[in-house]
Amino acid sequence: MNDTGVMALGIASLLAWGGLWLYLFSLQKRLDRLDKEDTP
Amino acid sequence: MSPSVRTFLALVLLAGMTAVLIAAFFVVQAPPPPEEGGGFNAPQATRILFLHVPAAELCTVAFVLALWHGILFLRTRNPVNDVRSLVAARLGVVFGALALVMGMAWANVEWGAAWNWDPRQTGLALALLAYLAYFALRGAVEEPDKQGVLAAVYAILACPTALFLVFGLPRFLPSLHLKPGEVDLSTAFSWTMAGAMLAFTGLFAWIYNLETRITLRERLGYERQTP
Repeated sequence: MNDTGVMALGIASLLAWGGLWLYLFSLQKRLDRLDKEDTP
Repeated sequence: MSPSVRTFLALVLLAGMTAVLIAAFFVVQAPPPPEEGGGFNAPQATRILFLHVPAAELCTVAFVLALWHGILFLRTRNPVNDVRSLVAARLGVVFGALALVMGMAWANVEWGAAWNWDPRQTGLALALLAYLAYFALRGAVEEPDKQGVLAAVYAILACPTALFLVFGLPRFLPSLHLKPGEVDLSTAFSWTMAGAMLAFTGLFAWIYNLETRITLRERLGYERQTP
């Protein structure tokens, strides 16, 4: 396999890991917003 | 969980994942090429397995969690169990899809085509389709308790089916997937894989916890209840 292919796989892996992190942060933000709405 | 503990845990997880990525791309040596007795046609691409394998494992863990909370729901009729089962199934599909896509990227360079009708590859795709039907079933029933019962029964039946398709069937059919012990992997490779499994499990547990809490709030109006 050539370097371009390895690079593409590497970038795909980073995107997948990064995507999961972004999803986690968005969930945390949503929960914080719900917390704030509940606070009288 | 206080914000400082949360930040600390996030940093630990982030550090762990960064360490795994650095190890995967800069420390682990690719297995030897086939002409030197190695078992992979594209040794450099084996690094994607650090993402593919944990995602596939956590997909099955999620389906087992969905089954377990389905059983608990049928026994207790506690809607919290229904929500936990739903979130587990949802995450199972997300991680399963990730495993499938990464597996196809791997198959493309290792086996020559992204789709090979390999029993495990096909089994995972069928399992994901079965779980998509689970969401269709949930969407088709409006009454919450009835929806919970039907979904729980479906989750209980779907899990062993998915496990059979992904792990059972490939044992009886010729498969392109390597069997355990078929290829000698370096110690660094094994440790990095263990680290990747740990990091992915941490991320999965965190997302599962957050999604459960949000879904409970939104669906049931639970306030400040930490599952």
